[in-house]
Amino acid sequence: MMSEAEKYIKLVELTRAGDYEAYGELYELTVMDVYRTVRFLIHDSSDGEDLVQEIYIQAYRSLERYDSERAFRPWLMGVTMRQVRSYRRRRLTQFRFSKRMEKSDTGLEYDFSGDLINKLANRPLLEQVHRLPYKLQQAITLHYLNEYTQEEISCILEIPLGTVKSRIHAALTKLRQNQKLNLGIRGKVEDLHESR
Amino acid sequence: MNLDEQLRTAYQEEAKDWTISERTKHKILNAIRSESRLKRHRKKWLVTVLLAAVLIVPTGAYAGYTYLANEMYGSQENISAVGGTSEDYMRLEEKLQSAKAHLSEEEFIQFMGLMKQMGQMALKYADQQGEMHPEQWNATEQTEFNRLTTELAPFFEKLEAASVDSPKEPMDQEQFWKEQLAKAETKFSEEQFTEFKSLYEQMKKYEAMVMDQDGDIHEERLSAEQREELKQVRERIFPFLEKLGLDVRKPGE
Repeated sequence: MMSEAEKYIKLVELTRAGDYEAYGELYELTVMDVYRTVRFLIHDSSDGEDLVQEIYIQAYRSLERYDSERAFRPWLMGVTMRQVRSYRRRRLTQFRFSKRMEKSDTGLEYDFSGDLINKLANRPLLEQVHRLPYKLQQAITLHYLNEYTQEEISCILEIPLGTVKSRIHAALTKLRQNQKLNLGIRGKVEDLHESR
Repeated sequence: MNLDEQLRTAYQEEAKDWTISERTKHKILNAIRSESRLKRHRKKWLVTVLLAAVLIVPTGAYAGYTYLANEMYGSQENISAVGGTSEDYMRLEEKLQSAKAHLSEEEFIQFMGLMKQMGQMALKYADQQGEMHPEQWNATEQTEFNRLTTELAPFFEKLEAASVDSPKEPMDQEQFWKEQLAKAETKFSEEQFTEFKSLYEQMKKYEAMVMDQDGDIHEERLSAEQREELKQVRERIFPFLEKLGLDVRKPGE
């Protein structure tokens, strides 16, 4: 049985040797993580898919320089974070130039079927997250959405472990403060939940 | 429930139905397929690689202004005749810009001279996909092509090495805007130019406010009013960019 890490290394080797299917497999194994992180951090579902495309093309190009001693997923997430950063800059003070690429058919996928109420209860918390300074958002999203360890986050963002710890800590502290302020509102949503 | 668990649950609930369409995977695989196909022939048809790469490889992202590419191909219309989209055109421009940045002035003039000849050849011989097939040409044409290839080779090697060293932003922002402003100054009326310049400066001001040294953007530092103002600045700058011949993609497009 191959370990997870060995599996990635094998697929990377195959990709480097020109096996596109192997890259397709790497994509399948990782895209959920990448897409969700991107979508959460850029807060925009329609640009999310385009950006994922850019990320995987960029990662493919950088694969030559990838060191197999490093874990693959955090490495890919590092590429992702850099692309997200340049997207955020572009969105704010730069411009994109027209490209004739068909629009992806995503967009509207509101979920009315399932547990909308659950989502309602969670939304205020995530909205608080979105209001945090970007660096804090980034750290706790990697930690709680992707379940990366603090050591892995330190590799992904290329910052010292101590900085990761203090960012997560600062984020949680701020969220706790906000929660105290919002207790009233949350209480109401929870009532709604229970009376369903 | 403690905050740790709450966060974990909240993220999971929020993201569990976020799926990405199958088409994205196909687009990526197609893009890397054409890219690697080009790479394999790098040694043999070095020039074809550069040309075809800029004509074929679709990438998203940022691209620059148009003049160098115009110099090479005459106009954007010409490049679409050989299968290039406006995106490809921008990519070509980006490559030429980076060549400009990495070569000395003298080298760059020489390089552009050769590239122009190459551009003429591409217009004449390239197929719909922007690829050239020198092996099918007559002897004179092949000799000419080989001469160009040989002369361009050292430039490409140099550029190749440079691009590996600095795989950062595709084009220097400062340079881009500097040249836009220079162009605007000659093209616009004084009034228009003043407005364009002031819009640009406002944008820069906001960028400085939100950007850290490491390049991270902190939009949350702007107040709601400031954000709205920045949005308006962006909107007002669009028509100017269009006047400068840039094919700008508006937000949400």
